[in-house]
Amino acid sequence: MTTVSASHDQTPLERELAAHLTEAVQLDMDPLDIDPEMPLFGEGLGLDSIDVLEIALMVNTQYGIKLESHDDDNRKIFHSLRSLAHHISTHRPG
Amino acid sequence: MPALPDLSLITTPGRPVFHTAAGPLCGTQLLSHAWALAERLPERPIINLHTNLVQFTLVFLAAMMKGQYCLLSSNHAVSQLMALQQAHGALCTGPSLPESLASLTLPPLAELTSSRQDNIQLPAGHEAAHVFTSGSTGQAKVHKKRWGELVARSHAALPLLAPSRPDGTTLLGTVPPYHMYGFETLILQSLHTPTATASGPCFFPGDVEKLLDSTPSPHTLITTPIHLRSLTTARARLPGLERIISASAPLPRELALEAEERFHAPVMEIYGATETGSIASRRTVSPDPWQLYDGLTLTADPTDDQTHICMAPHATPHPLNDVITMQGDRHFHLVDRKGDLLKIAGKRTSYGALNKALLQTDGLLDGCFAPLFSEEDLKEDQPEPTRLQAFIVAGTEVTTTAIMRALRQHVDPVFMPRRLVRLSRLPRNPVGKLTRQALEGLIRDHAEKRAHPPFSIPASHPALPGHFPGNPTVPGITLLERIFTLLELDVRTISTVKFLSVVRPGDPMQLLSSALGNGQIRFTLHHLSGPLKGTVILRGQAGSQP
Repeated sequence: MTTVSASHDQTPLERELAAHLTEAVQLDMDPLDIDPEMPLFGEGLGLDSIDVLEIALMVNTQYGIKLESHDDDNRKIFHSLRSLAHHISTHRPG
Repeated sequence: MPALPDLSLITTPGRPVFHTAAGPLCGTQLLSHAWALAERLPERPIINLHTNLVQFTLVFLAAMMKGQYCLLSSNHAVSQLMALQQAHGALCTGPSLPESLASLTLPPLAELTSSRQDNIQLPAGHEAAHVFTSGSTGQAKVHKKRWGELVARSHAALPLLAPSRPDGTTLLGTVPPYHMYGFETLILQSLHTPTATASGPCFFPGDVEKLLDSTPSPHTLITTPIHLRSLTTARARLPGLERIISASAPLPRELALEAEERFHAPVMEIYGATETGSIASRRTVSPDPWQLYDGLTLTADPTDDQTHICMAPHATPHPLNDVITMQGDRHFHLVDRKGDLLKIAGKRTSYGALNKALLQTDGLLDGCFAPLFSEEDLKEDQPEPTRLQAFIVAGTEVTTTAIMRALRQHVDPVFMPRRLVRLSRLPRNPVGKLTRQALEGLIRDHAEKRAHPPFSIPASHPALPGHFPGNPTVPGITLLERIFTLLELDVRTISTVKFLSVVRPGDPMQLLSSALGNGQIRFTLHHLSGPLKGTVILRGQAGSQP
């Protein structure tokens, strides 16, 4: 059995994104407590399909990136805080 | 009964039924693919869970070619699907299903070819689908949809969905095809009438823009209040949109107005239920009543003045879930949802009426009234509501005080919410309905923890000696100090406190409290035993904010 460290190594972008994310879907948790590798949906944070819509809106307003449903890509992008942050850093305009 | 239009699987199959990324898909191609699939299907009903519109349609057509029917349910919990499978001896098909379900994987379209393309006519009485209600009015129930009823209804809805060019309009939608609303608008409409449906991802605002851009104009968008809000917030660019159709969940007027201005298309709300299908529409921004589809009638139930029965060609008559008032034969106003009536302190209203008042509030994006229960109340079988709360979705610029002030103009004081609970959204289902189950979950999650553990002030309390010699009484300030400790409240202001009864040292007491939502807490202290049991010692209100 492994022990999970309580302090997660969030990058500065992940920290900022975690704050926007908890606000967008009103997650009742400290943004710093989000494990960047934890799945956002299903057994992880337990978000649902309407939350996806809220997160997409947040990403659009905060980072100017428009998300679309390319089935495979999306599953990867929305997998975790880290994957979402990666998508943002590689697609951010300018 | 009026003569039925064409009862074949696809009306005039030489035309495009779907527009896909690979180009238009004609009715004859669909028939060929569906016959090939039918050859591979067992003689069993099919639980059709596909979200891809072409795949959904192929399964639907193939099932009917085999003389079978599809089961359509919005509840995709594995336990629910297993129960359906067992009850109907059915097979599941859809994207990424768990292995525990007996399922059928759809081969790629290229492998589904058959020389058969015949466009068979089905009897009007053929059971085409068993559709399950969403449960917003109680337990999920099955409704059998017969082919004749479905064909007739598509034709009745055509003027609404394709107002200017019935034979050239492209429908596109953010709703799933396995729900009655999506089934009628995105699947059946294009099978039965000359419209075509755009098939492709259609969920995010970017998807809608892209699908609109890649398919022929004019377009009608089929959506829900939640998706419509995401489209307006994202400032989606939707040129060539002729009309927007929204489920009535309900749709706030302010949102409809914003969508009309942004997308230059009228927003029409559809009224209906799984039992009846869609039966009427109205333009949300206009004060006009709901207009019934042609060919349908609403008749007052002679045995119950609260009920109207919907009669439609080839359909079983169904009572409406709502109380309505007719205006002539073809128009009506919605009054209340049945089973929605509420009685507090001898006064009556309905959640429908309260929600309507709530949604009129400036800046409010969504909201609903609900009974306010404590954890104690919820231990009872069917607790009676005595106080209400409202769940609201609004920007931070809309203050609680402003909402309460606006509500007070329309709502009787006994029905005023005791608190407003801010949420990022209400747990509505994909077509925007707030099911009873979801609402009950919210009420449970937000139940008040209001009964505090009993306590007493002993005679040895330092404040007591010297007070009222020979007539020992607990000073009010001592009680308040203990109350604020129990409430874990850093009190800045005490709005009111009324002392109503005397407390002796050792008297057991219990504190009840309720949060008002604006940082204020209302509290009551009661005697817990003895001749004064239940008597109020004091009541008041205090806040942690000045």
